[in-house]
Amino acid sequence: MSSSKHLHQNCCEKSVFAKLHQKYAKDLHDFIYYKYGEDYNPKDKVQIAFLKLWENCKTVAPEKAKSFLFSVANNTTLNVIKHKKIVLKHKQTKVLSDKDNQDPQFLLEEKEYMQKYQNALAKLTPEKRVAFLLNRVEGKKHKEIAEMLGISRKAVEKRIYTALEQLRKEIHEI
Amino acid sequence: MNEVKKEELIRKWLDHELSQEELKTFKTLDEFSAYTKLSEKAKAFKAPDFDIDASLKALESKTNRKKQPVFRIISTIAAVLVLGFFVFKTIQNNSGLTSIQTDVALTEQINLPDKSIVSLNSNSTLDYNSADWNNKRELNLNGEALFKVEKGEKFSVSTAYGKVSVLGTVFNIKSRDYTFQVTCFEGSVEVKIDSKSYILKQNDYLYLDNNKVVLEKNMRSIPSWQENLTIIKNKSLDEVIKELQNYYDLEFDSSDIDTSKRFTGSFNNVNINLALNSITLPLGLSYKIEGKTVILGN
Repeated sequence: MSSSKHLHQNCCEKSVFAKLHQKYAKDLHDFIYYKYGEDYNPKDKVQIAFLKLWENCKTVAPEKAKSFLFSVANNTTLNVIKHKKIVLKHKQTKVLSDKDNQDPQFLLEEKEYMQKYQNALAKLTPEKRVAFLLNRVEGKKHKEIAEMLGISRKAVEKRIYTALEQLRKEIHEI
Repeated sequence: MNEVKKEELIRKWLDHELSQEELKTFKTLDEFSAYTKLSEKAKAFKAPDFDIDASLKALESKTNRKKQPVFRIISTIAAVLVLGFFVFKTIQNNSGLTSIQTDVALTEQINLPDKSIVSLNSNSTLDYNSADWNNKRELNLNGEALFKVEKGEKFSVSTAYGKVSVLGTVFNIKSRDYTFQVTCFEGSVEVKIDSKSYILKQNDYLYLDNNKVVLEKNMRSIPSWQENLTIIKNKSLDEVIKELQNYYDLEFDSSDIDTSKRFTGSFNNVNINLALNSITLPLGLSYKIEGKTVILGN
């Protein structure tokens, strides 16, 4: 049975460890990035979390590895004091070949919009921001996000919906 | 349309679950254009690409390397028969497990759940469990840190050499492969090494010299590393180089010189030329920096 084989699996085995890395490293990185911004070195947090997993590979079962990794990465980030505003970089608005879009007025408005968007995102709570961006940018379903964050699907829906409403009011209503 | 229905429609849209019919209704909402623009523009905030292979490679090199210092510490300790105090913390509650690591040349300040503050020096690791913090104020330290502890229950720091416990005070611990030092700046601390216990009062300074405990007075009001200075008293050049490597990410080529020479003095932790001058000039040595290597010569 595959389940009995599963029981004997151990994070200390290189192949199991590499598989867990393959499965969770990117999500972990995106989670820290969207939640706290680039100033918190999401790549480093991924390394720290996996190193901790490696050190504790005997006590953490593979099926518990996900919550272990997310907890370590999250706690580690939370406990580092930085009072900076969170920064999520946005790409430059693409200059399209369409002539209308190169109109300076349009470009200026676009720039202003993105500036407002960036500020509004920074104002969201980390919990709402990470759920909203995982959904809108990474295209994750509510169910996937719920599993990733270890919360109910209802809670995820609520976070994303209120984030959207808050952003709309902040940016589109004057 | 009532608010509840509208909210449900939006939630479904957010989860890509609208039917054709519902999509039509969604498009009639006043907020439709705002929502679609927000959704479209959100993509510009995409996280930077994450290179999974590079990440795994970096991890593998660290996990392979990580074993070596542990073995070295264990063998050193076994050699002097003091294995008894080597404390391993087992993790029972994963949810609060926190690990803070600083790289070479970087420092961090950490707020503990009880408002105690830890300043972590370069190239150091601090582990603790924040979930269980109110019951057990326990940390593991490998490296150097200054602790400002809020009054309360026992607060203890485990190191490879021993355990330091206090009730509320300011103290500095330096626990590295090659040295162990505890300095008390306020109140008093207890240092337990092997089965012996030492009480340090304000200005007391304890260190291990060839595995023997030495007690001295310290006249500084804060640890020197907080002023970007490393003070060295009668140490071999080998150990001075190890100290330097906590602050500068450099290799040292000392093949042409005698590294058993002793050094007393101090060096700057943020300016490499200043640091190398203050070490090489008194010893009558010279240095050259080539890329990431410092070549020491006579």
